[in-house]
Amino acid sequence: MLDIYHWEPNANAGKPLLAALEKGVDFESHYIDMLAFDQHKPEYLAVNPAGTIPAMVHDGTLIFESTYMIDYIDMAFEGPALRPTDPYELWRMRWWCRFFDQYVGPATSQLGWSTFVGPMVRERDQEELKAAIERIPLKERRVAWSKAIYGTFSEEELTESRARLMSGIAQIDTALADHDWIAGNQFSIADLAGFMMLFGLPVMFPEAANDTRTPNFMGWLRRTARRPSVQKGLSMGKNARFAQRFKELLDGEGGADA
Amino acid sequence: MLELYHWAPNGPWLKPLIVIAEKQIDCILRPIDVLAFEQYGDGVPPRSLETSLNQEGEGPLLVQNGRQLTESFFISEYIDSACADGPALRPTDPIAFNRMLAWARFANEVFMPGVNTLGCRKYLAPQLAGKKMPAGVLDKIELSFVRDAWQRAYANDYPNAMIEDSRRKIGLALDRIEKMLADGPYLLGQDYSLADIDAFAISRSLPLLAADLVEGRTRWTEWMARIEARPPVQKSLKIGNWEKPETAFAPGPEHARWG
Repeated sequence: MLDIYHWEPNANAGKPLLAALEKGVDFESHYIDMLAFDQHKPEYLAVNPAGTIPAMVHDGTLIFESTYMIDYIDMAFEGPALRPTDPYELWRMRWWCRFFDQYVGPATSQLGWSTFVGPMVRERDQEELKAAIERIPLKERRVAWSKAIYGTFSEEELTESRARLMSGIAQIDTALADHDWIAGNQFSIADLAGFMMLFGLPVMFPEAANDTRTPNFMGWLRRTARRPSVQKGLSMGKNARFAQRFKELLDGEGGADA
Repeated sequence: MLELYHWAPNGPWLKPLIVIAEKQIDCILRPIDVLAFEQYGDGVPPRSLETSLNQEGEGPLLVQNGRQLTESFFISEYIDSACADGPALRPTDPIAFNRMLAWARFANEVFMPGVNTLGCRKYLAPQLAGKKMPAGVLDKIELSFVRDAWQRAYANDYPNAMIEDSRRKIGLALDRIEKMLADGPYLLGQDYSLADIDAFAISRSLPLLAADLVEGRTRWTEWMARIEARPPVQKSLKIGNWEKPETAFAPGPEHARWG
């Protein structure tokens, strides 16, 4: 039995969900409401002591790291391959996954949390929020949540994140000039992980990602968005704002030719 | 034809050297002097899109038939997957494979930045004292965090908070290594793998950089000796005849900006 604990099909939470759908693997979906801090409650900590979303458990074993949960699904189950067999394309898949996870991902999260998650959470009771922060097991996550909730990202941090996205999205656009998918001609883990991390950018930060400046990037987002697995995954969300972003991406300028 | 541009057998440069020796692969070794910035000179081919944005900071460059690869762990995975000869260094069990990749990510984001910060402060900054970065080099470094790390080393500017945070990260890594060694002689259990090579290469400087943090770590100490005793590892550590390769440091991966 494969159990996937996820929030909205967005960023890390969506990676194992979409991978299981892409691979055609049966799984049990457990919706964890991140904005209600379900991920720090004892019943969830019993599944994943780190208190982070997503979590994936296969026959009682906890599988680590959202990007590598996709790798695991690809290795452990039958279905279409999500990793290239060519070693150089495999390397390129890894390289871009790292670029998404460590370079542009954190910058995207920072913008998303400062403009989206933070304001939504701030509507809650102050004492309840304080207690919720104190329950977070990992120090890094405690600091991140605290900054998101109280809106204390420094202007310097946000400026650096925007600069990183301006160059990072242009670099992805260049990489996609010669091939349809990130690693080459085959859809792979890098496309799933990158899409989940970045599909909100055209709406959240249109200066960096738009059809004039980064047409290859936009075409790739839409190509990925049209995959049946991605459509199915996105329909499993409960928060209308994510569905709206998805719709805006597909309906946007140039959407018809991608 | 495989060519590896490398510096001293320490940290990121050591990993592919060990993999090549373990698998007994023909590879042309091209040593470069990182402190003379030869990696940005004419002796190394102009970088591809990906390798110009090396997330590892300074590190090895592998070239095969004009294709370039960086990031020491992923270079190691590439060599293991591209060269069927020699022992397999990646597990076939999906759970063990997941543990290996999860280790590599933790090492890239937590362990390497921690060790690298202490190493650059102790061994790189003193060598740069009173010197200026050669003209034009800074413009050739694409990533701002790598430029910043070089300038930090020239200025010998390592605030206490940064040192303490690095030591905390090294402590987390040692805890994790010892926990993984509870189930066998190697990080993934019974079989030697790329995870051992990765963790060994990063760990090798610790007795010099943070002796108090490794003291009493029996499992870690025994495991380090077990890896170091392997003939391919011994051979790799002698490449270039460095007297103390474990003191060779240059700017590495950035500290994660977001937990």
